[in-house]
Amino acid sequence: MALNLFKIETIEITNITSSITFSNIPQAYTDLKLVGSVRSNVGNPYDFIYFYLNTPGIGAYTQRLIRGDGSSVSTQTNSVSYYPLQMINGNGATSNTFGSFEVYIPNYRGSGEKSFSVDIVSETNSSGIYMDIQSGLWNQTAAITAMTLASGSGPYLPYSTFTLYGIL
Amino acid sequence: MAITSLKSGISTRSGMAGNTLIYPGSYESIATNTITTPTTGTTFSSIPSTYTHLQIRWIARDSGTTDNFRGIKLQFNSDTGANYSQHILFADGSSATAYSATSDDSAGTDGVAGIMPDAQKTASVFAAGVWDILDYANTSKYKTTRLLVGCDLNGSGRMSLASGLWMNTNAITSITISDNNNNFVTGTEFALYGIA
Repeated sequence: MALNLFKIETIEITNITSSITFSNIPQAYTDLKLVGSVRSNVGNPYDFIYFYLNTPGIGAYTQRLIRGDGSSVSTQTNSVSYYPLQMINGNGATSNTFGSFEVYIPNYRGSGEKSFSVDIVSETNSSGIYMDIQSGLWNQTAAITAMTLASGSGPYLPYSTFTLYGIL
Repeated sequence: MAITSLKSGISTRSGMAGNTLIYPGSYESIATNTITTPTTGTTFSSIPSTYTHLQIRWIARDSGTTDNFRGIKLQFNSDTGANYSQHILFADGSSATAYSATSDDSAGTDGVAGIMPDAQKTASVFAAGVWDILDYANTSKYKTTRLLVGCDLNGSGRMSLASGLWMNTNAITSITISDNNNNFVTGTEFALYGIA
């Protein structure tokens, strides 16, 4: 049986933009899945995204990750007021390349704090680039009705896309 | 009245009075290639450009007999040139390693970062993976792939996150998946899905 995956909305960047928001997320699904193909206008080959659930500034986020950079591996834990979705491509990466990520949020309408998983890669035709497997936690119990993805060091470049799906 | 898509098998319902409207899903099977005779590779051709993203769900095992993990090559539109790169993070339960290859001939998991068990490993165990290819038909982008894959052999194994890059802006219309060293064994299977 085919996966019960339903597109809620795609946002494609047509002009350089510093933030996008999915609002009024329907409360009709079991899980949410967000995918992105993103490049920012920063000089580095990589950049990050400020990821917020519901209203930016409400609650706190914690993060654990394992990261590869093409030659070595590291781990991090972070506890901040936003979730650092890292790394996507910056404009210093090979031309026309975009980072790729997925955020999976199970039970987004549930009454508990919201856990989610992330796998994210930046790509370029050189050895040094970042790829992470992450776990995240938002310490709020509200149902998720909105997501904001604000650019990190540089705004999103055209052809970047973000697509939100609902899963039954 | 129930309506079942011949392509996806998804059942929907007519929007006539008295019925609750059920929208069709955004996930459709394009094709499934099952290896029935050991072979070096398989190709999905004539991929329609009507979806937003592609996903390949797969299980695979290599025919080699040297007790190794082997890589998988991913090539697009019959491009066998050095137009790919790949970055890989993999772990085996006790340590983790990262690897990269640039200007390579595939966007898979070749070299030291192989993930498929060969035939000398625990019998009947296949690696299982999911490849995502976002915006595969966007002609303003090089194509980035993202793979999560694992293989547990009840005592050993590997898991990996791998990214790949195809440095070409053409829409992807065919995908060739090849064993990097030997043959895929019978029972290896690749299922290609289109995501709206």
